[in-house]
Amino acid sequence: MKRYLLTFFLILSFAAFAISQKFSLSSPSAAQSGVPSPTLPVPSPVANENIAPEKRLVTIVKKPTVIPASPVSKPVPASPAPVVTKPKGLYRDGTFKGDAISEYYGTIQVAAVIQDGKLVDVQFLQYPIDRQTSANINNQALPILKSEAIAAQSANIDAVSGASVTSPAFISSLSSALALAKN
Amino acid sequence: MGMPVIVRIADELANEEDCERVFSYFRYVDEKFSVYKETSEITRLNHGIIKEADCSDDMKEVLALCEETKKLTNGYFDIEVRNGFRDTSGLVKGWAISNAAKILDAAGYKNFFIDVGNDIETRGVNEEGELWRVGIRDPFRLTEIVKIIRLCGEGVATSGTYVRGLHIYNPLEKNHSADEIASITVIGANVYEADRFATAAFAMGKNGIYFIENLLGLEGYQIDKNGIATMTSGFEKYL
Repeated sequence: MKRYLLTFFLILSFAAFAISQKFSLSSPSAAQSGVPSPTLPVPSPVANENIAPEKRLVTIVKKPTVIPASPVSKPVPASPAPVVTKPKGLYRDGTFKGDAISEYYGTIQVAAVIQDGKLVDVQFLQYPIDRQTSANINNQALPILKSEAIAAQSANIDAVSGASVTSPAFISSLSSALALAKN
Repeated sequence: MGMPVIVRIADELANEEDCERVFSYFRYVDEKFSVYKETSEITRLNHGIIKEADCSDDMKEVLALCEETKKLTNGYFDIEVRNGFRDTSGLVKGWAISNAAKILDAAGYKNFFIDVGNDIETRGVNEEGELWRVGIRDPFRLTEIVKIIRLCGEGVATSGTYVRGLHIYNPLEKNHSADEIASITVIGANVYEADRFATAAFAMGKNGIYFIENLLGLEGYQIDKNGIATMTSGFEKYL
Protein backbone atom coordinates (compact mmCIF):
# COMPACT_ATOMS: atom_id res chain seq x y z
CA MET A 1 0.00 0.00 0.00
CA LYS A 2 2.90 2.26 0.52
CA ARG A 3 3.82 4.10 -2.58
CA TYR A 4 7.03 5.23 -3.99
CA LEU A 5 7.17 8.09 -6.34
CA LEU A 6 8.82 8.28 -9.66
CA THR A 7 12.38 9.43 -9.63
CA PHE A 8 13.04 12.21 -12.03
CA PHE A 9 16.50 12.19 -13.55
CA LEU A 10 17.09 15.55 -15.16
CA ILE A 11 20.69 14.61 -15.70
CA LEU A 12 19.91 11.34 -17.42
CA SER A 13 17.36 13.00 -19.65
CA PHE A 14 19.87 15.66 -20.54
CA ALA A 15 22.64 13.15 -21.08
CA ALA A 16 20.48 10.76 -23.05
CA PHE A 17 19.25 13.69 -25.13
CA ALA A 18 22.76 14.99 -25.68
CA ILE A 19 24.02 11.56 -26.57
CA SER A 20 21.17 10.81 -28.94
CA GLN A 21 21.71 14.15 -30.68
CA LYS A 22 25.44 13.85 -31.07
CA PHE A 23 26.26 10.22 -31.37
CA SER A 24 23.30 8.38 -32.77
CA LEU A 25 24.31 5.94 -35.45
CA SER A 26 27.38 7.92 -36.41
CA SER A 27 29.87 5.33 -35.16
CA PRO A 28 30.78 2.63 -37.68
CA SER A 29 30.93 0.09 -34.92
CA ALA A 30 27.30 0.52 -34.01
CA ALA A 31 26.24 -1.97 -36.60
CA GLN A 32 23.68 -3.75 -34.55
CA SER A 33 20.15 -2.65 -34.90
CA GLY A 34 18.04 -1.89 -31.95
CA VAL A 35 20.91 -0.57 -29.86
CA PRO A 36 19.30 1.14 -26.93
CA SER A 37 20.27 4.77 -26.44
CA PRO A 38 23.06 4.86 -23.92
CA THR A 39 22.39 6.27 -20.50
CA LEU A 40 24.95 7.40 -18.04
CA PRO A 41 25.40 4.78 -15.38
CA VAL A 42 24.46 6.23 -12.00
CA PRO A 43 25.54 4.47 -8.84
CA SER A 44 22.55 2.66 -7.42
CA PRO A 45 21.67 3.70 -3.87
CA VAL A 46 21.14 0.10 -2.85
CA ALA A 47 23.81 -1.92 -4.60
CA ASN A 48 27.28 -2.28 -3.26
CA GLU A 49 29.42 -3.85 -5.89
CA ASN A 50 32.80 -4.94 -4.69
CA ILE A 51 35.16 -3.77 -7.37
CA ALA A 52 38.62 -5.35 -7.39
CA PRO A 53 40.77 -2.94 -5.41
CA GLU A 54 43.81 -3.13 -7.65
CA LYS A 55 43.71 -1.02 -10.75
CA ARG A 56 45.07 -3.18 -13.48
CA LEU A 57 46.86 -1.79 -16.47
CA VAL A 58 44.41 -1.24 -19.25
CA THR A 59 45.20 -0.51 -22.86
CA ILE A 60 43.07 1.52 -25.18
CA VAL A 61 41.47 -0.97 -27.54
CA LYS A 62 41.87 0.21 -31.11
CA LYS A 63 39.14 -0.60 -33.59
CA PRO A 64 40.38 -3.16 -36.16
CA THR A 65 40.79 -1.67 -39.62
CA VAL A 66 40.06 -3.64 -42.75
CA ILE A 67 43.28 -4.48 -44.67
CA PRO A 68 42.86 -7.07 -47.44
CA ALA A 69 45.76 -9.52 -47.13
CA SER A 70 44.83 -11.28 -50.38
CA PRO A 71 42.31 -10.93 -53.16
CA VAL A 72 39.94 -12.70 -50.86
CA SER A 73 39.55 -9.78 -48.58
CA LYS A 74 39.35 -10.75 -44.98
CA PRO A 75 39.40 -8.14 -42.25
CA VAL A 76 42.71 -8.14 -40.41
CA PRO A 77 43.38 -5.98 -37.38
CA ALA A 78 45.93 -3.26 -38.08
CA SER A 79 47.64 -3.94 -34.77
CA PRO A 80 47.26 -6.96 -32.54
CA ALA A 81 44.32 -6.37 -30.30
CA PRO A 82 44.96 -7.21 -26.65
CA VAL A 83 42.97 -10.10 -25.28
CA VAL A 84 40.02 -8.57 -23.56
CA THR A 85 37.49 -10.55 -21.59
CA LYS A 86 34.13 -10.28 -23.25
CA PRO A 87 32.34 -7.63 -21.25
CA LYS A 88 28.95 -8.41 -19.78
CA GLY A 89 27.84 -4.82 -19.78
CA LEU A 90 27.16 -2.05 -22.20
CA TYR A 91 30.82 -1.09 -22.55
CA ARG A 92 34.15 -2.55 -23.60
CA ASP A 93 36.91 -2.61 -21.01
CA GLY A 94 39.58 0.03 -21.19
CA THR A 95 40.25 3.73 -20.70
CA PHE A 96 38.49 6.01 -23.13
CA LYS A 97 39.25 9.69 -23.58
CA GLY A 98 36.38 12.10 -23.94
CA ASP A 99 36.29 15.36 -25.82
CA ALA A 100 37.77 18.49 -24.28
CA ILE A 101 34.88 20.85 -23.64
CA SER A 102 35.11 24.53 -22.83
CA GLU A 103 32.68 25.90 -20.34
CA TYR A 104 32.10 28.50 -17.70
CA TYR A 105 35.07 27.62 -15.54
CA GLY A 106 37.48 26.63 -18.31
CA THR A 107 38.14 23.39 -20.17
CA ILE A 108 37.17 19.97 -18.93
CA GLN A 109 38.29 16.68 -20.39
CA VAL A 110 37.65 13.33 -18.75
CA ALA A 111 38.48 9.73 -19.43
CA ALA A 112 36.12 6.88 -18.63
CA VAL A 113 37.62 3.75 -17.09
CA ILE A 114 35.63 0.61 -17.80
CA GLN A 115 36.20 -2.68 -16.00
CA ASP A 116 34.06 -5.75 -16.52
CA GLY A 117 31.85 -3.77 -18.78
CA LYS A 118 31.05 -1.17 -16.14
CA LEU A 119 32.17 2.38 -15.52
CA VAL A 120 34.43 2.22 -12.48
CA ASP A 121 36.23 5.52 -12.60
CA VAL A 122 36.24 8.92 -14.22
CA GLN A 123 39.62 10.61 -14.61
CA PHE A 124 40.08 14.31 -15.10
CA LEU A 125 42.60 14.93 -17.88
CA GLN A 126 42.00 18.66 -18.09
CA TYR A 127 40.39 20.91 -15.58
CA PRO A 128 40.11 24.64 -15.11
CA ILE A 129 42.59 26.10 -12.66
CA ASP A 130 41.68 29.35 -11.12
CA ARG A 131 43.68 31.50 -8.78
CA GLN A 132 45.60 29.77 -6.06
CA THR A 133 45.04 31.06 -2.61
CA SER A 134 46.78 29.79 0.41
CA ALA A 135 44.26 29.21 3.10
CA ASN A 136 46.09 28.61 6.31
CA ILE A 137 43.76 28.94 9.19
CA ASN A 138 45.22 30.43 12.29
CA ASN A 139 46.65 27.35 13.90
CA GLN A 140 45.16 27.69 17.32
CA ALA A 141 45.13 24.63 19.53
CA LEU A 142 42.87 22.19 17.76
CA PRO A 143 40.70 19.68 19.59
CA ILE A 144 41.54 16.02 19.16
CA LEU A 145 38.98 14.38 16.94
CA LYS A 146 38.45 10.73 16.23
CA SER A 147 39.96 9.36 13.02
CA GLU A 148 39.61 6.13 11.14
CA ALA A 149 40.62 4.61 7.83
CA ILE A 150 37.66 4.52 5.50
CA ALA A 151 36.36 1.09 4.56
CA ALA A 152 33.67 -0.11 2.21
CA GLN A 153 30.32 -0.79 3.86
CA SER A 154 27.79 -3.17 2.48
CA ALA A 155 24.33 -2.65 3.79
CA ASN A 156 21.06 -1.48 2.41
CA ILE A 157 20.76 2.27 2.14
CA ASP A 158 18.02 4.63 1.09
CA ALA A 159 20.16 7.37 -0.44
CA VAL A 160 23.73 8.48 -1.07
CA SER A 161 25.51 11.67 -0.12
CA GLY A 162 28.62 12.45 -2.05
CA ALA A 163 30.31 15.14 -4.01
CA SER A 164 29.01 15.32 -7.51
CA VAL A 165 30.53 17.08 -10.44
CA THR A 166 27.75 17.59 -12.88
CA SER A 167 28.51 20.57 -15.07
CA PRO A 168 27.30 20.23 -18.67
CA ALA A 169 30.91 20.16 -19.87
CA PHE A 170 31.65 17.24 -17.59
CA ILE A 171 28.59 15.42 -18.91
CA SER A 172 29.55 16.13 -22.53
CA SER A 173 33.10 14.97 -22.07
CA LEU A 174 32.01 11.83 -20.22
CA SER A 175 29.31 11.08 -22.83
CA SER A 176 31.85 11.26 -25.62
CA ALA A 177 34.17 8.94 -23.70
CA LEU A 178 31.35 6.45 -23.09
CA ALA A 179 30.37 6.59 -26.76
CA LEU A 180 33.86 5.35 -27.61
CA ALA A 181 33.55 2.62 -25.02
CA LYS A 182 30.21 1.39 -26.20
CA ASN A 183 29.98 -2.12 -27.59
CA MET B 1 21.46 22.90 -11.61
CA GLY B 2 21.43 20.02 -14.07
CA MET B 3 21.28 17.41 -11.35
CA PRO B 4 19.01 14.47 -10.70
CA VAL B 5 16.13 15.23 -8.36
CA ILE B 6 14.81 12.36 -6.27
CA VAL B 7 11.69 12.69 -4.18
CA ARG B 8 10.80 9.71 -2.06
CA ILE B 9 7.69 9.80 0.09
CA ALA B 10 7.14 7.06 2.64
CA ASP B 11 3.71 8.28 3.73
CA GLU B 12 0.86 6.05 2.65
CA LEU B 13 -0.95 8.49 0.47
CA ALA B 14 1.36 10.30 -1.89
CA ASN B 15 0.28 11.83 -5.12
CA GLU B 16 2.12 12.86 -8.22
CA GLU B 17 0.74 16.36 -8.23
CA ASP B 18 2.62 17.26 -5.07
CA CYS B 19 5.81 15.79 -6.52
CA GLU B 20 5.30 17.70 -9.71
CA ARG B 21 5.12 20.92 -7.71
CA VAL B 22 8.49 20.06 -6.21
CA PHE B 23 10.02 19.31 -9.62
CA SER B 24 8.51 22.47 -10.97
CA TYR B 25 10.09 24.47 -8.17
CA PHE B 26 13.54 23.04 -8.97
CA ARG B 27 13.11 23.92 -12.64
CA TYR B 28 12.28 27.47 -11.53
CA VAL B 29 15.42 27.59 -9.37
CA ASP B 30 17.53 26.27 -12.22
CA GLU B 31 16.19 28.86 -14.65
CA LYS B 32 17.09 31.57 -12.20
CA PHE B 33 20.41 30.49 -10.71
CA SER B 34 22.15 28.31 -13.26
CA VAL B 35 25.40 29.84 -14.48
CA TYR B 36 25.25 27.43 -17.42
CA LYS B 37 22.16 29.07 -18.83
CA GLU B 38 22.56 32.25 -20.84
CA THR B 39 19.08 33.42 -20.02
CA SER B 40 19.20 32.85 -16.27
CA GLU B 41 18.90 35.77 -13.92
CA ILE B 42 22.34 35.13 -12.43
CA THR B 43 23.97 35.12 -15.87
CA ARG B 44 22.23 38.33 -16.84
CA LEU B 45 23.30 39.85 -13.54
CA ASN B 46 26.88 38.68 -14.07
CA HIS B 47 26.96 40.25 -17.51
CA GLY B 48 25.54 43.52 -16.29
CA ILE B 49 22.38 43.15 -18.34
CA ILE B 50 20.38 43.71 -15.17
CA LYS B 51 21.33 45.46 -11.96
CA GLU B 52 21.19 43.89 -8.54
CA ALA B 53 18.61 46.43 -7.39
CA ASP B 54 16.27 45.19 -10.12
CA CYS B 55 16.62 41.53 -9.27
CA SER B 56 13.84 39.27 -8.08
CA ASP B 57 13.17 38.79 -4.37
CA ASP B 58 14.54 35.27 -4.47
CA MET B 59 17.78 36.44 -6.08
CA LYS B 60 18.16 39.21 -3.52
CA GLU B 61 17.51 36.79 -0.70
CA VAL B 62 20.08 34.28 -1.92
CA LEU B 63 22.71 36.95 -2.51
CA ALA B 64 22.13 38.28 1.00
CA LEU B 65 22.46 34.80 2.48
CA CYS B 66 25.70 34.31 0.56
CA GLU B 67 27.04 37.57 1.95
CA GLU B 68 26.09 36.54 5.49
CA THR B 69 27.69 33.13 5.02
CA LYS B 70 30.86 34.74 3.73
CA LYS B 71 31.13 36.73 6.96
CA LEU B 72 30.36 33.72 9.14
CA THR B 73 33.13 31.75 7.47
CA ASN B 74 35.78 34.48 7.33
CA GLY B 75 35.56 34.59 3.58
CA TYR B 76 36.01 30.87 2.96
CA PHE B 77 32.54 30.79 1.52
CA ASP B 78 32.82 33.13 -1.42
CA ILE B 79 30.54 33.12 -4.43
CA GLU B 80 32.82 35.19 -6.60
CA VAL B 81 34.27 32.86 -9.18
CA ARG B 82 36.37 35.07 -11.41
CA ASN B 83 36.27 38.47 -13.01
CA GLY B 84 33.57 39.58 -10.63
CA PHE B 85 31.25 36.78 -11.75
CA ARG B 86 29.20 35.16 -9.05
CA ASP B 87 28.01 31.58 -8.71
CA THR B 88 25.64 30.82 -5.85
CA SER B 89 25.61 27.04 -6.26
CA GLY B 90 27.43 26.43 -2.98
CA LEU B 91 24.38 27.70 -1.12
CA VAL B 92 21.40 27.81 -3.45
CA LYS B 93 21.13 24.06 -3.76
CA GLY B 94 20.60 23.55 -0.03
CA TRP B 95 18.36 26.60 0.10
CA ALA B 96 16.20 25.27 -2.72
CA ILE B 97 15.93 21.76 -1.27
CA SER B 98 14.89 23.20 2.08
CA ASN B 99 12.21 25.27 0.40
CA ALA B 100 11.01 22.29 -1.59
CA ALA B 101 10.71 20.26 1.60
CA LYS B 102 8.44 22.98 2.98
CA ILE B 103 6.17 22.48 -0.02
CA LEU B 104 5.72 18.88 1.05
CA ASP B 105 5.37 19.86 4.72
CA ALA B 106 2.54 22.20 3.77
CA ALA B 107 0.89 19.41 1.82
CA GLY B 108 0.83 17.34 4.99
CA TYR B 109 3.62 14.84 4.38
CA LYS B 110 5.60 13.66 7.38
CA ASN B 111 7.97 11.02 6.05
CA PHE B 112 10.06 11.72 2.98
CA PHE B 113 13.36 12.82 1.61
CA ILE B 114 14.41 15.07 -1.23
CA ASP B 115 17.77 14.39 -2.83
CA VAL B 116 19.25 16.81 -5.34
CA GLY B 117 22.72 15.95 -6.55
CA ASN B 118 23.28 13.94 -3.37
CA ASP B 119 22.43 16.74 -0.95
CA ILE B 120 19.50 15.48 1.06
CA GLU B 121 16.73 16.84 3.27
CA THR B 122 14.91 14.24 5.36
CA ARG B 123 11.69 14.06 7.32
CA GLY B 124 10.49 11.27 9.55
CA VAL B 125 11.23 7.65 8.74
CA ASN B 126 11.30 5.30 5.78
CA GLU B 127 8.67 2.78 4.69
CA GLU B 128 9.92 0.26 7.25
CA GLY B 129 9.52 2.77 10.05
CA GLU B 130 13.26 3.19 10.39
CA LEU B 131 15.47 6.24 10.18
CA TRP B 132 16.57 7.14 6.67
CA ARG B 133 19.85 5.37 5.88
CA VAL B 134 22.19 7.60 3.92
CA GLY B 135 25.48 6.24 2.62
CA ILE B 136 28.51 8.51 2.34
CA ARG B 137 30.18 7.92 -0.99
CA ASP B 138 33.83 6.91 -1.20
CA PRO B 139 35.55 9.80 -3.00
CA PHE B 140 38.10 7.33 -4.40
CA ARG B 141 35.68 4.72 -5.71
CA LEU B 142 32.44 6.16 -6.94
CA THR B 143 30.41 2.99 -6.51
CA GLU B 144 31.40 2.33 -2.89
CA ILE B 145 29.92 3.57 0.37
CA VAL B 146 32.23 4.14 3.33
CA LYS B 147 29.87 5.20 6.10
CA ILE B 148 26.18 4.92 6.78
CA ILE B 149 24.34 7.58 8.77
CA ARG B 150 20.77 7.48 10.00
CA LEU B 151 18.65 10.59 9.78
CA CYS B 152 15.21 11.63 10.90
CA GLY B 153 14.64 15.25 9.97
CA GLU B 154 18.23 16.37 9.49
CA GLY B 155 19.82 17.55 6.28
CA VAL B 156 23.12 16.32 4.87
CA ALA B 157 25.43 17.75 2.24
CA THR B 158 28.83 16.70 0.96
CA SER B 159 31.41 18.93 -0.61
CA GLY B 160 34.29 17.29 -2.33
CA THR B 161 36.03 16.11 -5.40
CA TYR B 162 37.47 13.13 -7.20
CA VAL B 163 40.86 11.85 -6.22
CA ARG B 164 43.50 10.96 -8.74
CA GLY B 165 46.38 9.32 -6.91
CA LEU B 166 48.19 12.11 -5.12
CA HIS B 167 46.35 14.90 -6.83
CA ILE B 168 42.86 16.08 -6.13
CA TYR B 169 41.11 17.79 -8.98
CA ASN B 170 37.87 19.62 -8.77
CA PRO B 171 37.12 21.93 -11.65
CA LEU B 172 34.58 23.75 -9.57
CA GLU B 173 36.92 24.55 -6.75
CA LYS B 174 38.92 27.69 -7.05
CA ASN B 175 41.48 27.35 -4.31
CA HIS B 176 43.94 24.58 -3.76
CA SER B 177 43.92 24.31 -0.03
CA ALA B 178 41.23 21.78 -0.87
CA ASP B 179 44.01 19.57 -2.23
CA GLU B 180 44.42 18.07 1.20
CA ILE B 181 40.98 16.58 1.55
CA ALA B 182 38.76 14.60 -0.76
CA SER B 183 35.39 15.30 0.81
CA ILE B 184 33.58 16.61 3.84
CA THR B 185 30.07 15.56 4.74
CA VAL B 186 28.09 17.84 7.02
CA ILE B 187 24.90 17.02 8.92
CA GLY B 188 22.76 19.91 10.11
CA ALA B 189 19.27 20.78 11.27
CA ASN B 190 18.42 21.24 7.59
CA VAL B 191 20.21 20.84 4.28
CA TYR B 192 20.52 24.62 3.79
CA GLU B 193 22.83 24.86 6.81
CA ALA B 194 24.61 21.63 5.89
CA ASP B 195 25.22 22.77 2.32
CA ARG B 196 26.60 26.25 2.95
CA PHE B 197 28.91 25.08 5.71
CA ALA B 198 30.09 22.02 3.80
CA THR B 199 31.04 24.34 0.96
CA ALA B 200 32.98 26.63 3.30
CA ALA B 201 34.58 23.78 5.24
CA PHE B 202 35.83 22.13 2.07
CA ALA B 203 37.55 25.34 1.06
CA MET B 204 39.43 25.26 4.36
CA GLY B 205 41.18 22.01 3.55
CA LYS B 206 42.12 19.79 6.45
CA ASN B 207 41.05 22.37 9.00
CA GLY B 208 37.48 22.33 7.75
CA ILE B 209 36.45 19.62 10.19
CA TYR B 210 37.56 21.80 13.11
CA PHE B 211 35.47 24.63 11.80
CA ILE B 212 32.44 22.30 11.81
CA GLU B 213 33.37 21.05 15.29
CA ASN B 214 33.15 24.62 16.54
CA LEU B 215 29.69 25.20 15.11
CA LEU B 216 26.76 24.25 17.31
CA GLY B 217 24.28 21.91 15.76
CA LEU B 218 26.53 20.71 12.94
CA GLU B 219 28.46 17.46 12.69
CA GLY B 220 30.94 16.41 10.05
CA TYR B 221 32.88 13.54 8.51
CA GLN B 222 35.94 14.54 6.52
CA ILE B 223 37.97 12.24 4.28
CA ASP B 224 41.52 13.23 3.42
CA LYS B 225 43.51 12.33 0.35
CA ASN B 226 44.98 9.28 2.11
CA GLY B 227 41.60 7.81 2.90
CA ILE B 228 41.68 8.78 6.57
CA ALA B 229 38.42 10.09 7.92
CA THR B 230 38.08 12.52 10.82
CA MET B 231 34.76 13.09 12.51
CA THR B 232 33.40 15.76 14.85
CA SER B 233 32.78 14.81 18.44
CA GLY B 234 29.01 14.47 18.07
CA PHE B 235 29.02 12.68 14.72
CA GLU B 236 28.62 9.20 16.12
CA LYS B 237 25.08 9.86 17.27
CA TYR B 238 24.11 9.58 13.61
CA LEU B 239 25.53 6.10 13.15
